[in-house]
Parts: sequence; C-alpha cells; structure tokens
Amino acid sequence: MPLIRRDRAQQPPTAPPASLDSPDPNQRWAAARALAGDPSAVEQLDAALCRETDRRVQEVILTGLIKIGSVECAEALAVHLRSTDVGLRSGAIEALQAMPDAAAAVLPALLADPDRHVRIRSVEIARTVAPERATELLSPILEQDPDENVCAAAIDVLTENGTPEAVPSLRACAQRFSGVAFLTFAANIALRRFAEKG
Amino acid sequence: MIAGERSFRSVTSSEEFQTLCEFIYRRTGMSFSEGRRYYVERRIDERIRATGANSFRAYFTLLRANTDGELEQLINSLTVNETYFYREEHQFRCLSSDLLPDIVSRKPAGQPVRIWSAPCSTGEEPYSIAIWLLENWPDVDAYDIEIVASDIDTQALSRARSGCYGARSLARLSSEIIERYFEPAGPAEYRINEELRSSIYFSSINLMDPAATRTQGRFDVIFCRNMLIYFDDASRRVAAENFYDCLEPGGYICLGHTEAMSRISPLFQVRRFHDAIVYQKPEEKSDA
Repeated sequence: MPLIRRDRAQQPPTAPPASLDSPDPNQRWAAARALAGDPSAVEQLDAALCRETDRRVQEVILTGLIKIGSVECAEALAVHLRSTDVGLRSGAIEALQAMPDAAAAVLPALLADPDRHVRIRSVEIARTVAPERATELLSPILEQDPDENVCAAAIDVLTENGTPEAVPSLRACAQRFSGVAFLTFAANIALRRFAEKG
Repeated sequence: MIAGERSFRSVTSSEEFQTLCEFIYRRTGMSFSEGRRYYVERRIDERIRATGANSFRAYFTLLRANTDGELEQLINSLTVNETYFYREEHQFRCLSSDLLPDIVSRKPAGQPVRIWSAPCSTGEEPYSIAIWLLENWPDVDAYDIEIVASDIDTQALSRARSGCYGARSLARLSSEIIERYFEPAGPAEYRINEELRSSIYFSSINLMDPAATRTQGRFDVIFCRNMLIYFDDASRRVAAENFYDCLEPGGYICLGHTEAMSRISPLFQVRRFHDAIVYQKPEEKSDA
C-alpha cells in the first residue's frame, strides 16, 4: 500500500523572531501573526498597516487588529476608509464589520465625515452592528444627510438590520427626496418590511 | 413526565449564557448565537448532570479550572460529528483528476504527497480519501501518500482510530469496496481493515492554535469541510491563515459546499475544476 504514516508531529523549524520592518513579506507576515491579539501591539500593527503594500501581509495585520478588537483598533482601521488602495479600504471595512462593538464607537464621527464616500462606506459598517444601535446611528442620516446615495445606503442597511424605530426617519427621508424615484422606492420597501414584521 | 426522569431545564440566564459562549469562543473559536441557545443549554445540562455540579455557577467553575478535563468533555459534546463515507464525492474526483496531477508535476522526486483532513470527525473523511486514491488515482503506486487526520473532539478521534462504522455511514460505498477495505465487526457493523487503519495518523488539534497547527508540517491538500460554518468572521480568518501557513505553495484547500473562502479571506486563489471549486495558495515569491 502506498500510504505511509509518520507518528510524530513535526517540530516547525526554529526561525529568528520576524520583524514587521523586514524587506521580506514572509517575515512581515510571520511578525504580524505573532502579534495578533496582543493588546499592546495595536500601535505597531497600525503603523505597519499604514506602510504595508503587500496585500497578503495587509490581510494578516487586519486579522491581528480584529483579534484585539478594541476601540483603539477601530480608530486605526477607520483611517483607511479614505485610502486610495481599494484592497486595503475594503479590508478595513470588513475588519470593522468583524468588530461591531468597537466599530459602533467610531461610527458617529465617520458618519459625520465631510466626504460622502467615507459616509457611504461607514453606513455599510453598521450592517453588523446590533440592530438597535444601527437604528440609532443611521436614523439621523435619513433625516439630515444631504446626499441621496448616503441615504440610499442607510435605507439598505436598515431594511436588513434596523428596528421599527427607524420608521419615522424612513418616512422623513422619503419626503425629503420625494423627487428621487429610486430613493422613495427603497424607503417604501423598507417601510413595508417593518409593517410586515409588525 | 416519566417518574425519575429529570426534564431538560434552562440552566443559564442570558448573562450566564453570554459568559459561557465567550469562554467557549476564546478557547475554540466556535461561535454560538442566541439562536443556538437551546442546543448549547441541552449539552450544558448534560454536563452538569455528568459532573454532579449542582448549578450552572458551580459547573462553570469546574469548566474554567478544567477539572478532570471538563473543557474537552464539553467541546466533545458541542461538536457535530454526523458524516459518512464518500461525502461530497465530487471533491475526491477533483483530487484524483486535477489536484494531485498538478501537485506531483511540481513536486521534487521522492517527496511524499501530504493530505490533511481537518476536522476529521469520526474518520469517514480520511478513510474515504485513502480508499478513493487507492481505487481511482492511476499514479497511486508511484508516490508515497501521507494522510493526517485531526480533530478537537477526542471522543470522535477515538472512534476514528477504532474505524468501526454502521451501515448508514457506508451507504455510498459499493459492496466490492466494503469487501476490500472493511471486515465485519458485528450485526450491521464493519471495521476498516488493520492495514488501512494503521496507515493514517490521527491527532488532536485545535485548528485555531497556530503553534499546534504548525507542528503538523506542510501539506499539499487540506480538506476542511463544514467546520468554518461554526466560526465567526474573526475565527474564520485566523483558521484560514493557519491553513495558509500549513499549505505548500501551490497547495489546495477544499471546503464544504456551503462555504466559500472568498468570503473569508483573499489569501487564496479560486480554482474552478470540472468537478469542484477549490482554493489554492499562490506560488511563493520572496522579495528578499
């Protein structure tokens, strides 16, 4: 039979401690993995993420920050919502979605950002926040945000992850943008969903 | 209620349930939402009875101290081990027709082909891989093949090592295969023959522990089917990174049909073959 068996687990080769500053991405990967979940490493991981260009290493740094999951980590990730690196920007959104409690703490500032693209991305993060908190965060957007695309994103998230407390804000939004067909359509769908849920 | 039978009762308050779930999550990566509270509480209730603890609080103290290996016992009771031979057979077809020919075309002479079944549950998957290759891979005699099978559930591993299965587990196997690789072990029960049983290395591993997974060495193919669905996003990412570290460059990972690596991590490339979609670790390039 060609099947063979080795009964002892292999000892991984001992390697010198890896550095986040190494020119070798494999070393930076190993260093970031070693720091994952260490609350004292937020600053190092944050600095490394800001200069990292290797997508694979960025990814493992993001996991390290998710594992720590503090508000400090959420603040470090929030910076990248305005990154021109699409991979890093998407990764930061996904990482914030994976730490909803910490993300909820940084969302009020992000949702008030003067850049509507940042606000749209921030609305998406609220998709994983507790429904009550998502409703609290996004209802003011429906009532006040001047941008129809930001409001459309908020309606979409609240339809999936909102509570009936959003209903008055949805009505107000539909009224504010009564001339924007797609927005009133989306608001009406959301209102119907909440009516069906009772 | 039958006399003497103790009915199942809700053992925890919401706060206690939350604390318990956080504890389990930290130790194993398994994530249980409020929707699975009944499932978890039934098992906690069983463990409270088994340990003689008279309250949830007393039981949780035992658990945290891991008295008499209670953590392992609880993990064993929470894991789902329902599986059968040749489950998702199309992936095994993909293994023999596409993955292994690609792997051996890049492999230096004399190097074994290493395959990891994790989690292996009660053993149906690693034995299926072995049987499938012996039956279907034309080059099977040209290479050494090492199959490692791991699980966090030590009771499941013990059953896997013993290799005994009922007719239900074997339903997808032909009578010829059963005759070739099994021996009767009682009424409607069969046991994997000694040669095959002894050719697979079984190990107890927490797949969330990078130091533990590294001890298994590097593999050419990993089967990790229907495990990641029990994890939350953060744990899935950690598991994906552990698997990445355990794969040879160009190696493959096969997930369950409801799981998609592209929703977990961008580290792997999606590969669409005739029989299955699998994920490949890119070939290594070093900037050093």
